[in-house]
Amino acid sequence: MAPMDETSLNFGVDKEATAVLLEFLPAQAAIVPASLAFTEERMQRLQEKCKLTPLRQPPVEAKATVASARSEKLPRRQFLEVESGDRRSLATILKEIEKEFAEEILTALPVPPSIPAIAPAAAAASGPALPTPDFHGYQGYSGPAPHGIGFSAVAHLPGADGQGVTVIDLEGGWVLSHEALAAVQFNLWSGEPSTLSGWKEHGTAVGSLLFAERDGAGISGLAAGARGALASIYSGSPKRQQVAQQIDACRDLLNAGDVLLLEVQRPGPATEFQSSPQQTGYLPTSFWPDVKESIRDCIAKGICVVEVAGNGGVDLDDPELQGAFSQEGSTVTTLGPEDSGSIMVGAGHAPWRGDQARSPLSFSNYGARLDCQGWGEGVICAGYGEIWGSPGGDNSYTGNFYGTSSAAPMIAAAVAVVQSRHIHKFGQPASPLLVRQAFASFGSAQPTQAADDSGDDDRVRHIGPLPDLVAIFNALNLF
Amino acid sequence: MRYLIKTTMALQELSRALAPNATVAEAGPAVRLAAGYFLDVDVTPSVPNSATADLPALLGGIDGIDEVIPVPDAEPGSP
Repeated sequence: MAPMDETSLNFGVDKEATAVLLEFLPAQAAIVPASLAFTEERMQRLQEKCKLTPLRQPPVEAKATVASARSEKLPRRQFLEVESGDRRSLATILKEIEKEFAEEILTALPVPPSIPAIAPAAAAASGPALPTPDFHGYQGYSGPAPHGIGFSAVAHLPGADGQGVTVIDLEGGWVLSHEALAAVQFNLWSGEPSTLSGWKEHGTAVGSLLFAERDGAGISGLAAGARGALASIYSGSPKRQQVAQQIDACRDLLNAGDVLLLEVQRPGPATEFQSSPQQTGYLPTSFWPDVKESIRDCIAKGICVVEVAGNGGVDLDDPELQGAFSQEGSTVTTLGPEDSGSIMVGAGHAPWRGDQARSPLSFSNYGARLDCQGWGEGVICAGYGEIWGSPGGDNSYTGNFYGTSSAAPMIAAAVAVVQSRHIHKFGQPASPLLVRQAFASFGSAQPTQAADDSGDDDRVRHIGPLPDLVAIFNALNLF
Repeated sequence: MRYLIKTTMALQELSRALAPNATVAEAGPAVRLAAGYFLDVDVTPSVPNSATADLPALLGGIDGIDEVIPVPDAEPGSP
């Protein structure tokens, strides 16, 4: 199957699934020309939009091919590959098709490798759960640079899978019984989980990106070789958020070379610290001095802390923030007084955005403090139930996890891979500040040119490169 | 609202200083940071939506408080 970051996508057509209308991620979505009313003229019009190729023989009862459908009708069931004729994204093409062919199109069913197309919601509603498809082919973020971070290019090296390193996902909650979290070794190592569905879906998504087993079903965790652990920011009785204290608790549980992923953000002064649905003005929690100091204590112990930059669209260099994110005085061996020492991760456009790839998403916080980026949109992972299963279920998957939340787990996993390989080769981990420097320096650069002379372009906002593990391994002599 | 309050006051002193306009309760253990000593507290106005319910103004007017940092609830990093 073509990976998600290219301009083609396999999809299936199943007229029997018409009761299900799923809102797939556009770039992963596919049309379902299930209507028998496709005329030659309409079919030609459809084929002007994209290239359609049969993937396999249609069922016996419907021997028509795409070619014959031009003069007759589309078969009852047909598997096709959609391919863009130009560099436009599939999302754009599919939106156009959906709009223009609304009468003929019923629903969309992506076809993961090696299984037939089945309607997820229909499957969930009828008897025993069907085996989860293998979505690994859609994990373009694990592939080679410049589109991915290069996990696949170093995976053959001994130790380069997180082995011997512990990674904690610190946030609110998870669907702890989810199949993608089955390999987690330390469920709720610290804290009490939130029961809010928003947290649970979010945590499941993040946890799966890190820890999902490489078993041919669902997705493959990027640090599947690491010891996985989950810790909650909630604790105490009555239960409430204790971010700094829980970082301290994680620090006590971890050792040098381990990784702490901090997946939380807070409303900042731009909105008078009030929450907002769009998360405007949100900041990384290291803005608050207690959290910053707790992170610094982790760094001092040799623990790498990976932190979401936040989705507030905020310039972290803004003087209004009073230098809270200043790195003045920091070097590769020392921390300046305002520097938490975390690897701060912004959200970049995914590769299918063409020349916008790796430019900052409009909501991503930005500024000199950011070290690097990950995919901030269209990330396939567990949770939410948009492409498989149902929300809150044990086998749910989404194709559109996004935000700095989707970006940071990729980096945390990459850090675990670097540290595990470093330990394997040199007998000890690299220092957190050296790792941070490597991730900020070696990768696929973000576009820096504004589209015009105005300078008013998201691309000039600094979020740093999409790290490339091959370049980092070269720089740190890890090959 | 939850606040980190940089102060030399103990919780009881702060409570007395805010009375009768607001009540204060411990939200988390006080922390001694490089930047100073901070109380982690919930402050609740006695009469919501009144002239005395402006907590930043209320806290800013108390001698012995050097800095007041609101601490909103953390949220997931995915909009």
